[in-house]
Amino acid sequence: MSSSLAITSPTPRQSAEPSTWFVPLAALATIAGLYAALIYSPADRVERDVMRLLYVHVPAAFSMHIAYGLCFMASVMYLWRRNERWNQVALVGAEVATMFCTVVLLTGPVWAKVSWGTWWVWDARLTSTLLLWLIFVGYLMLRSYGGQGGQLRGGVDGERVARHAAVLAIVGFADVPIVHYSARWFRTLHPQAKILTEGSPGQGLNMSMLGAFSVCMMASLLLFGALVTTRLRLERAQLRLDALEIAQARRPPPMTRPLPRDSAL
Amino acid sequence: MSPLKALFAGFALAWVVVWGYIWIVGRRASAIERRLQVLERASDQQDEHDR
Repeated sequence: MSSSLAITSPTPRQSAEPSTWFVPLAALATIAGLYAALIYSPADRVERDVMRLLYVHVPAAFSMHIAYGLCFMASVMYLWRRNERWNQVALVGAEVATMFCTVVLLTGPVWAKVSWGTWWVWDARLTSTLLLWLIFVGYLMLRSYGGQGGQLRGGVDGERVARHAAVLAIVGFADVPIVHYSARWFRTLHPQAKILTEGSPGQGLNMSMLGAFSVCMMASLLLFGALVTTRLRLERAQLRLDALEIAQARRPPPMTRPLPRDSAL
Repeated sequence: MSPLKALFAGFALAWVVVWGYIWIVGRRASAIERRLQVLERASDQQDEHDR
């Protein structure tokens, strides 16, 4: 990994970029979060230790919502402005959101097995979350196999893929409010959000649990920031590489160049 | 499944997904960096040859 980090190592111009300080902050916050979740926080009286999964499941879901929001906003901006930068932000947002969504979809069933006695039920919250994950896996497949988009990489076709991907992201984002409000709108096994409810934050948690939850939430948000900024730098490096490859391909090979006029004599 | 086993499984799965993603990004970064170095070296050599 050390060589791979060279691409993100600070050069004089890049040292002020957020990814340079986001990464160590996120690492420290993650360690603090693990301590808070596994040692500092007391176990729940009813659910016992499995309740500690709350400290991963809920912050991951929160970061997932923000990342999908970022992807949606960047896709709208790309369709409006046709700026390659927004196209990159949309891709990075979708990738990070899908990663957090995978964490949510894996930790949820493990918790459900103990609390509900089953790994999975086809209720509104779980089904809409799985649907959201599938939509954005499809989005990432479109971006991966259809070309990355933009003028440099795929020319007209690449731009068409970027446009289609932006439309898919906007349509797919319609599922995000459904995921959020599904536990309120429909009768589901999944409990309604009690911690981040408007008007009564922290309902159902004692002070130690609330403290641990805040640390884990902060760690998750910092991890989100670190992943997005680092991944954006990687995208920029990829664009630089594409530009160099195109310049190299357009350069005539040395042997086929026309000789100077004098040498013909 | 006991609560402790479930807790371990949940944290382990989350850990694998997050670190797996970081590992994939790291591998992609090193591949780009290698390719950039090769291209920049080739470009420099061609510039010298042109001169």
